[in-house]
Amino acid sequence: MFDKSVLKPQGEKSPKPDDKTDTTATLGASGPAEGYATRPRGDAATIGPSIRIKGELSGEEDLTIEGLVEGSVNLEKNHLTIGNNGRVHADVRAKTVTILGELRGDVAGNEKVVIRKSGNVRGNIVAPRVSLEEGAMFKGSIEMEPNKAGAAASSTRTDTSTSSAPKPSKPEEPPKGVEARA
Amino acid sequence: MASSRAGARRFGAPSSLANETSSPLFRSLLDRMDEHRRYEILDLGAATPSNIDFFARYHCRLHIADCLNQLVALKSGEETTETQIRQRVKGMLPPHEDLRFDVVLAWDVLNYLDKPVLRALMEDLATSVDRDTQLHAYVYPRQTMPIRPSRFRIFPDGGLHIEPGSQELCPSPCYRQPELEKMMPNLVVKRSVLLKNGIQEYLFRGK
Repeated sequence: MFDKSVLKPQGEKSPKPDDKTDTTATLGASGPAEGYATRPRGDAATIGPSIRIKGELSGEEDLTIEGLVEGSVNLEKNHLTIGNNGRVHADVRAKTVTILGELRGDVAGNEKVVIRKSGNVRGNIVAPRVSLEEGAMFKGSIEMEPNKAGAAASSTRTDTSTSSAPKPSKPEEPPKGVEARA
Repeated sequence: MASSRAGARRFGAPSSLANETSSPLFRSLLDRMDEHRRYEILDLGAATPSNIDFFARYHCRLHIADCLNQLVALKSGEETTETQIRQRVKGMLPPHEDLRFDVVLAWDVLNYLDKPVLRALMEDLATSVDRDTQLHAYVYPRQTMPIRPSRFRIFPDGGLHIEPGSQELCPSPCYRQPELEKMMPNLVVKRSVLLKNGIQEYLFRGK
C-alpha cells in the first residue's frame, strides 16, 4: 500500500520518477545502514509531498512528513514534523510533534506538541506541554497535566512567538531507520 | 491591572485595552477551581494560544469545539427543519455523551445564534450538564453589537480581553434573562453583572 521510494534523507535531490535505485537504498525498513550512511547526523528523514503511505509507520529517527500518511505513526523517542504540505490521517505518537500541515487523528507527545500557525489539527492531544500559535486551527481536546508540564507555561509562550519550525534534535546514536508496514 | 497589560503585550494583543474587562463572574468561577481537582472544560469558540496556556495550570481536559462560526452560519428556515438543525449541531460538537462538563465557555454564543440553533445546542449539551456545571457567557443588552463574534483571550491573571470581531455593528437580539432561561431549560442564571463596557456577563449553572 505504500511506495518504497518514500523515505529519503532531507536535502537530498529528489529522484527522477523512473529512478528507483537511489530511493530504495534509503528505505529504513529494508536497508537502513547503507541508506543512512550518507545522511548527516541530526537530519530528519522526509516523506516527500507526492508520496502516499497507508499502514503503520514506526522508527527510531526524526521524521518529516510532507506527503500523505494514513494509519498510524510511532516515533516513541524521536521528533515528528508534519510539514506545510503534510497530511496525516493517523494516530500519532512521538517524543515531540510539530505540526505545520494537516493532522486528523489523536496525538500523544511524550514531551510536547507544537501546532504552528499554518497547522490544522482535528483530534485529541495528550502531552505534558502543548503549544499553539496564533492562527493555528485546532478542534479536539487537550489533556492538561500541570505536574508533568513543569514550567510549561513559560515555554509555550516562547513558542507562540516563534514562527520557524524547531530543528530536530540530534540523536545520540546514528539513525537506525524508519519502518513502514502496510 | 498591571499584570493584565503585561499579558496583553506578551500574547500580542492590541495595544489598546479599551475592551479589556474585569469580568467578575469569570474570575469568581476561576477562584473556585481547585488546582488538585480534575475538570472537563468545553470552549465552544476557536482555539486561542493564551487560553490554552491559561488552562495548562489546571488538571483538566480542555475540549475546543471551534464551532461558533459554523453555528452562526446555520440558519433556520423553510429548507432547514429543527431535526436537521439538531443533527448538524450534534455533528459540530465533540463527542460528549459520556462526559459531564464542569465549565462551558460560551462567550459570544448567546448573541449570534438563531433561536432554534441555540435551543438545539443547549438540548444537545443537556446530557453533559448537571448541577455542578457552570456556563459563562456575555450578552449584549443594548441595541447593537459587532457584526461578527469577538475573540476572547484570558490573561495570565485571569482577566479577559474582548477583541471585537468587527467595528461594524448590527442589531443585537438583546436577550433578557427570562428569555435566555427559556431557551436554556437545563440551566439557570446563577449571577449576572452589567459590566462597565455595557456587556452583560452571565454565569449559569446546571439544574
